[in-house]
Amino acid sequence: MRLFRWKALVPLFLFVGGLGLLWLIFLDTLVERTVENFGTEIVGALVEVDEADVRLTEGFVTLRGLRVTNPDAPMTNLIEATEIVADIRIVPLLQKKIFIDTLAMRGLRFGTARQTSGAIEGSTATNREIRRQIDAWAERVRIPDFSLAGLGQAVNASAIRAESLQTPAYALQLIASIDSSRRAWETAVADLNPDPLIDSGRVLVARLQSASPRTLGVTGLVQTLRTARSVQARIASAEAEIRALDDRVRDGLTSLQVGITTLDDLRARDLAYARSLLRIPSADTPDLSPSIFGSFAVSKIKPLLYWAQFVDRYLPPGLNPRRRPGPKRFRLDGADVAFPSAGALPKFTLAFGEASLTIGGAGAVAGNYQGVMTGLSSAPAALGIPLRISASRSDAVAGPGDIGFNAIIDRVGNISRDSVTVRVAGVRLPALTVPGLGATLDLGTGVSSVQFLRTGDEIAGTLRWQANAADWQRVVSPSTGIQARVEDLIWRTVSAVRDVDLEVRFSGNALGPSLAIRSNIGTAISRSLRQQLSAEIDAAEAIARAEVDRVVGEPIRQTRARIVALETEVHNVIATQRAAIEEIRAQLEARINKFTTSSRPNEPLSKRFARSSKPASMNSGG
Amino acid sequence: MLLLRLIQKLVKTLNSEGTPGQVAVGIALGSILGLTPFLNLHNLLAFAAIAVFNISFPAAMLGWVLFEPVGFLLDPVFHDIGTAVLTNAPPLLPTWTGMYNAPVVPFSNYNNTVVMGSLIGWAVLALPIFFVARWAVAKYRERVLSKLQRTKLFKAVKASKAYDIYRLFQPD
Repeated sequence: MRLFRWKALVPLFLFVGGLGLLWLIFLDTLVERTVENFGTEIVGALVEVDEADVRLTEGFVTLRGLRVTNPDAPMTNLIEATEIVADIRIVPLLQKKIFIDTLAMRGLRFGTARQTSGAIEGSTATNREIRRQIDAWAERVRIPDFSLAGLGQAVNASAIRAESLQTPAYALQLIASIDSSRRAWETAVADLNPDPLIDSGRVLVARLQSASPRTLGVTGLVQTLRTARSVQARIASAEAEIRALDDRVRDGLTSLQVGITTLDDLRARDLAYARSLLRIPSADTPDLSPSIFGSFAVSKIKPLLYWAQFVDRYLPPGLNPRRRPGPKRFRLDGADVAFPSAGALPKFTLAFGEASLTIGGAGAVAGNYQGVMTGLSSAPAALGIPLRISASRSDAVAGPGDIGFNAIIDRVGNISRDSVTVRVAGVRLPALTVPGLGATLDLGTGVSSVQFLRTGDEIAGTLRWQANAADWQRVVSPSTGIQARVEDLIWRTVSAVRDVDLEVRFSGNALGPSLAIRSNIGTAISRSLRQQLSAEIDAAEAIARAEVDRVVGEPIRQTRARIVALETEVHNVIATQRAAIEEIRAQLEARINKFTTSSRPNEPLSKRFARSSKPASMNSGG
Repeated sequence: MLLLRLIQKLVKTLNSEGTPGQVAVGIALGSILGLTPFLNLHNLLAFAAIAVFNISFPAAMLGWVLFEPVGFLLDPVFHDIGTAVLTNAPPLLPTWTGMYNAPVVPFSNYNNTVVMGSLIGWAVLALPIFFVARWAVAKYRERVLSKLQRTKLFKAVKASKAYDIYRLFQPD
């Protein structure tokens, strides 16, 4: 039998050749779709390319009409480029790797409007997870409340009710506990019931007092002593039980006293709760910036954290195998595992990228800009050099022209070491609402700067906005009385402030940094508030305190009284029983000792009896 | 229907030998096309082997068709196997790294968990598929074919084009 079917070779070659031809014909479309799909996967929003032109023989690829949607604003493009020309190496393509020697971007524009939304049906798993983590952090950030709305309003004391406070409920619980302890101890005392034993002891003592060895005789004496010792043992046992009960009672009372301390703590908490109900503005802090600018700061930090995590996911440090979602297909996608190796080419490398753009007009941002990127790769540790990006304005039409961006994303070692510095001067800064004051603050033109440092999972940095011609606008306030008066005073204070310096510092874990917010506005408002509000705050707090005391005072008094009563009552009962039983024990011991004590302790009872039976004169004479 | 016609034409073109062993090897080799994701380098090699070696080409196509749904069903299992082999087997790491940085090899997509898992699955199942197919074809020809040939349905089918496919299982 023949092993090979040689005549099949020709159709096979024709088939493979046909496949190759199809690949070449559709290569442009293939590259276009690949850039769109891969870009969309990475950005988490639509990435579109109008046209791709691949010239394998000449070693370059041209993309025209690139639009990258801003994932935070789907009707806006993050970046738009008229033309991107990439000079690629052919040999790495045989390893299914892309190595771009140089890349030039022309006709760059930022923040352009889109005709249609660039949001994608559910962001990719990676982006979704990052957003979920950042949103969870934002919800955890505690922004102190600042409101003047409660000022001057009649203090709504009716909101302070027994059901909404913790103290009355705990007092009831404590009283129930006191009653329960009382019943348990009364039962224990009743079970103990030493009265019959005490009576029996008294009868025995009386008998012993009236008896003597001579009248009892030997047998009677032995019998009497045996009975006496038995009663003595029972008395000792009862005494021990009373002592144990006494200890238990003392422990129980100590525990109830702790409950009283807890009541005092709860009263303090209830007072704080009542104070929050009254919405009294706090003037305790020297700087109200966290209250005023907290939400604004969180909204500005969120994108920063997102991109920090984004870079970390797609450019992890080290050379460990890393997983990515597999290609979309009818079958299960699975995951692609990359195996970067030192010295070998990464899956994707951009050795040098350059972008230039011109913004026309005569505005503050008009001018020529230049951006350079080196060392971008999917496995920086394999490439051995960190990613560096820098951008600056090379020529300005107007304004101070100080725009600079420098970033080093170092993932060469096993620990991420990133640093980013951005400084933009002469641009329009954001306008923001000042909560609690009924005013808006337009920072106008000023300086905005960002500093970001990362080492491993720890990040630290600063966002800062500085303006010297801030414009305050007051929204018409419906406030009346004291609130309107205080608002007016604060307004006069802050509206005179034209130089604004707002700084947000963040530090800690990359997924949950802590914030510190400082501004001259916050300090000024705080100072003004303290001056104007101290009397108002004192009066409102006094009302709150009185109302809380009215609601919780009686339960606390009752609880204390019950504990004192229980302590007195139980102690009295136990002390009485203990004294009675100790007394009878002492008497019984004395009588027994009288019968048994002898100058010759080893003398037998019969001899002692004989000796005690002789006339008293003989005894005294001996 | 397109697939049936393709099989008929391929049969005529390649003139399969049609012994039970050849049919069984064809089904076993064809099963790799069904069990593993199709657009990969190893499937091109498998296809070339099916075409060049003197085995039953239509049987290979039949193996592909038969095992395609099996591949879909077993994809989650293949993914787990591939994940374990690619990411939880440190001794194999140098091998995977070497293959990842070698020319052409990455086009096999061996580093995809489903592709790797299904390749391992096929390697494990290939011999059992071969032996079961060879036994089944032999038994079929020995016991079923003669009885089947006497039925009206078979005669009707024999008169149709579909019979061309049926002939694949007959020895030359």
